[in-house]
Amino acid sequence: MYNIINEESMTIFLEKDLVAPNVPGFNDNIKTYSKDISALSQVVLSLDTVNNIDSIGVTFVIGLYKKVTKLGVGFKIHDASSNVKQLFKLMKLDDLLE
Amino acid sequence: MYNILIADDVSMNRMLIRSILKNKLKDIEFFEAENGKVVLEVVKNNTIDLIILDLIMPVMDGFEALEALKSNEKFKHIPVIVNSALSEISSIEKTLVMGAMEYFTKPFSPDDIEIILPLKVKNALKLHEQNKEIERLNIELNQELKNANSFAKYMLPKKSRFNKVDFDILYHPSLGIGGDFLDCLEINDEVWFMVADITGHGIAAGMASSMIKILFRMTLEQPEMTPDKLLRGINKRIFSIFGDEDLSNYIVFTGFVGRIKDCQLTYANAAQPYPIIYRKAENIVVPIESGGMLVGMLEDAVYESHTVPLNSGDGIFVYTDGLFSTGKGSDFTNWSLVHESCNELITVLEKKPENFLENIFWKFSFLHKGEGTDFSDDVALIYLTLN
Repeated sequence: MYNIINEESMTIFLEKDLVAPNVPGFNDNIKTYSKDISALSQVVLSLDTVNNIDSIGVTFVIGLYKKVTKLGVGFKIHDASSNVKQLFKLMKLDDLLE
Repeated sequence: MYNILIADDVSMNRMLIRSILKNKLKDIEFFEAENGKVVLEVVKNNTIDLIILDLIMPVMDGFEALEALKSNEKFKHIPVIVNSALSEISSIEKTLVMGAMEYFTKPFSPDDIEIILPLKVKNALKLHEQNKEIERLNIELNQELKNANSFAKYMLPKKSRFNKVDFDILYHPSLGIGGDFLDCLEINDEVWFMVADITGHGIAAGMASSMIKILFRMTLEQPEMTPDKLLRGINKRIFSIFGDEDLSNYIVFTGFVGRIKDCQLTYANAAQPYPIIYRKAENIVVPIESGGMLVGMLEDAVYESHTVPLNSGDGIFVYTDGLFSTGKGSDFTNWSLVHESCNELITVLEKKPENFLENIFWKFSFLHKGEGTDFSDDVALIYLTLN
C-alpha cells in the first residue's frame, strides 16, 4: 500500500485484494497517513489492483470513509472493477464511486 | 516427570547418556532399547517424551526405526535426537529430513557432556510439552465449537408451517459455529422472517448472530413495525451498545427482512444478495433487485421498505453469499448464478418445493467441487411458500 499526494488530494493505492488477511496491514498503514489526511481536501481510494473483495474489505472501505469524513475531508473511490461496482450498488455505496 | 528412551546397541553408551542426563536434569525416568524393534515396542507400551536414537543397531537400525516412528500418527510427534558415530553429511541430512530434531556425533566431547546435550534435551522436552498443550487446547476448542454449534442449531426456527405460510431452512456453518442468522415467526396474521450474514466467522460471529436474533425479536415487539424500521432500529441499537468505536465492526452484517401479510410481501434489504421470488402461476423466478446499506456501518443509515403482491403457491428464496462465493477469485458477485440455478430447478419449485433447498445446496456443492473449490463461508437458506 502506498499513497501519492497531489496538491490537496491524496490517492491511496492498495496493491493487494481487499480481503480479510490484508485488511489489518491496510489499517496499520492508514494510521500512519492520518496526520497528512487532515490537511487535505480529498482522499481517493484507488481500487485499480483489487480483483477480490470480501465483507471485511468492505468494512475497511467504510471505516476509511468514516475516518476521512470525520476530519472534514472528501472521499471517493476510483478504478473499481465491474464486480466491485456491482457489490457497491447492492450495498448502496455507489455514491462513493467515481 | 518426563520419560526418555535411550536406544543404543552398546549398553555402555546407554549408561553414559543416562548418567549425563541424570546429573543435569530433574524428574526424568529412563527407558532403554538395544535395537529399533525394541524402540517401537517401548513407545507402544509407554508414554515417551523424547528418544535418543543410535543409527547402527542390529535387528532394526535407527533409520528404519525413525521412519516407522515418523509415519505413525500416534508417535510422529515424539522428538528424536540422533546420536551416532556416522559423521557423513548424507547421514545427518537423511535423519534430519526424516524428522529428527538434532544430530550428535559420537564420541561426545566434554562440552557435549557438560553443556550441549543436557540443554538440547531440555529444550526438546519443553517443545514437546508445548506441542502437547497446543494439541490439548485444540481438542478443547473443537469441542467448544461443537457445543456452540449445537446451541446455534437450537436457536434456529423450529416450526415449518404457519397459518398461511410454509417455510424450510438449511443451515451449513463453515467453522463449527456460523455467523449467518435465520429467523421466522408468526405474529397474529403476519409472518416475519430475517436472514443475516455477520461479518467474519467463528465464535465472535456466532455470538453476534445470537445477539441479532434477540434484537430482531425485541424490535418486532414495537407497534406498527415495518421492515425498514426494524433494520433502522437494530442499527441504532447496535450503535447505542457499541458506540462508534472500531469494535462496532464486530456487529456488521447484511440482512434481509420480510413480512408476509394479506398476500403481500413487504421487505427491506441491507445489502443481502438479491432474493428470488417464484411465481407459481407463470412458473418463473424473478430476483428482487433492491439493495441497501450494511447494518452496523453507519449510525444514520436509511433503509427502504418495498411491497410486492404474492399469490397462493408463490415462494420467496433468501440466501447468504456463502452459497455462491467460495472466496477464490472474483465470485463474490455471482448471485446471478443463483438466479440461473433457480431457473434450472423450476420443476422442483413447481412440483416438490419441499426439496428445493437441498437441491440448490447440492447443486452449488457440485459446482464448487467441479472448480476445485468448496463452501468456505456459512450458508443459510430459507424458502417460504404462501399456501
